Amino acid sequence: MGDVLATAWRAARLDADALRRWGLAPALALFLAVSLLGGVADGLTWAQARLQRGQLTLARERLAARVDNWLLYSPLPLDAQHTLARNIAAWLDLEGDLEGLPTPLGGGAAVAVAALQRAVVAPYRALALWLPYTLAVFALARAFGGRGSLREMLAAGALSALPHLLDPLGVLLGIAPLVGMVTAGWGAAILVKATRVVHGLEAGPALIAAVTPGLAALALALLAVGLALWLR
Amino acid sequence: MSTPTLVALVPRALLFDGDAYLEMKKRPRALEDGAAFLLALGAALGLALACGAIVTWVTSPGIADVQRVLAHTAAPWPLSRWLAAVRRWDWLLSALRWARPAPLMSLAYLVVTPLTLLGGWLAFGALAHGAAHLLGGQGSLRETLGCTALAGAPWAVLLLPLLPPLNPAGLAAGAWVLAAQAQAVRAAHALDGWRAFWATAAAALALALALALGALVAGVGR
Repeated sequence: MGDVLATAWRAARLDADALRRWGLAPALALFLAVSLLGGVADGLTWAQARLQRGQLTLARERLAARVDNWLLYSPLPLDAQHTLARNIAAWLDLEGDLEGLPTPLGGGAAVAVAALQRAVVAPYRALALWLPYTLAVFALARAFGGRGSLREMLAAGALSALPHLLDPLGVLLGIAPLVGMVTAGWGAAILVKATRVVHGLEAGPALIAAVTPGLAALALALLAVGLALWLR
Repeated sequence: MSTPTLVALVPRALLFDGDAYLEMKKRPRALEDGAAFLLALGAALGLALACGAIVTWVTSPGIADVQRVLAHTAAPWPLSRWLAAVRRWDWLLSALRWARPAPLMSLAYLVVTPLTLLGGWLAFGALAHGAAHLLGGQGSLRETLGCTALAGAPWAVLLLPLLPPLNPAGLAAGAWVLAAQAQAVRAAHALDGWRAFWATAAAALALALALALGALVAGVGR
């Protein structure tokens, strides 16, 4: 166990040998365990918020007021700021109204079961993002002349989940977006290093292989938003 | 070539062990074993999905209540316009009904899931076989179907009876299955990696287009 933890820590610090040593089964197990931990933290926080609805309503009102203040520092014209602030406040109210609707099970039991569902869905959500992405990185790395196998790529790539062990800390401290940005960047660095190590690529092609699927997805998303706005 | 040896291939297929498909290919009754495996998996999956749907039903509000809240929400533009569009889009409300089927309707998963798994396997297998042959593959249809049946093993990750319908788990399992199918086609037809990839991608795309066309025709007909 100590050896596993030491290897995991070295892999998180981008040690090439540590990235190469992982088998697919333990790497996947680690990936799913880290995601589940994040899911449990999210589920507990969500359940706590739902059970204290009065405080949740107050938190939403405070968030709407904070957004109003932040927008004052934005370059948007005053009427656009006002429209955006009113829409966000209306959205938060709608969220509160929907959460207040009765459910067949009712009460704390429904919240507990729904929180459990949120926790168990988290590893699948992480897998749904990570697996297609890593498969795309693998295909690109092979196109660049990489020599690694699919098992090796998935095993090393799964270690990009390691920094996300810090995500529950962000949720508990109320700085989840900041911690999320740090862990996402750190995970991306591990993926780039893993691509380089597994496929024997230079830094440039490894970086291109690792980031291109993300850039392509972002470009498609922007295209879709642009199209939707244009068709409106 | 017994059931335990078939079951032993499943975790190896899940972990992308290409040799598992070569062993499946050598089985004298690969097609029949593959069909039996998918039928058993489909039955178990149907039960898990039905349980997940019932759990989701008891923990979420009714669609009629949600519609009532959306109809009475006072919101400024552009949120009001989006809400009006949501209320007009029948397909979105149908999707919500699929995500929250009533308990009796949830039991339909018990029958629909194994049939969908078998039908999808046969359709995909036939398309992949054709595409692989066009790319120089040498396997028989029995070998292709036997190997692609084993590649359905990743659907087993959905065997958790708490998962709600229409959630990211299906996407995760689908991506896993697609990658496994590429390995299966590669083993069945002795293709190199890229040809197996293109054969799989072509079959998946053709199947997706056929399903989309079918949905469009059904929608237009209605």
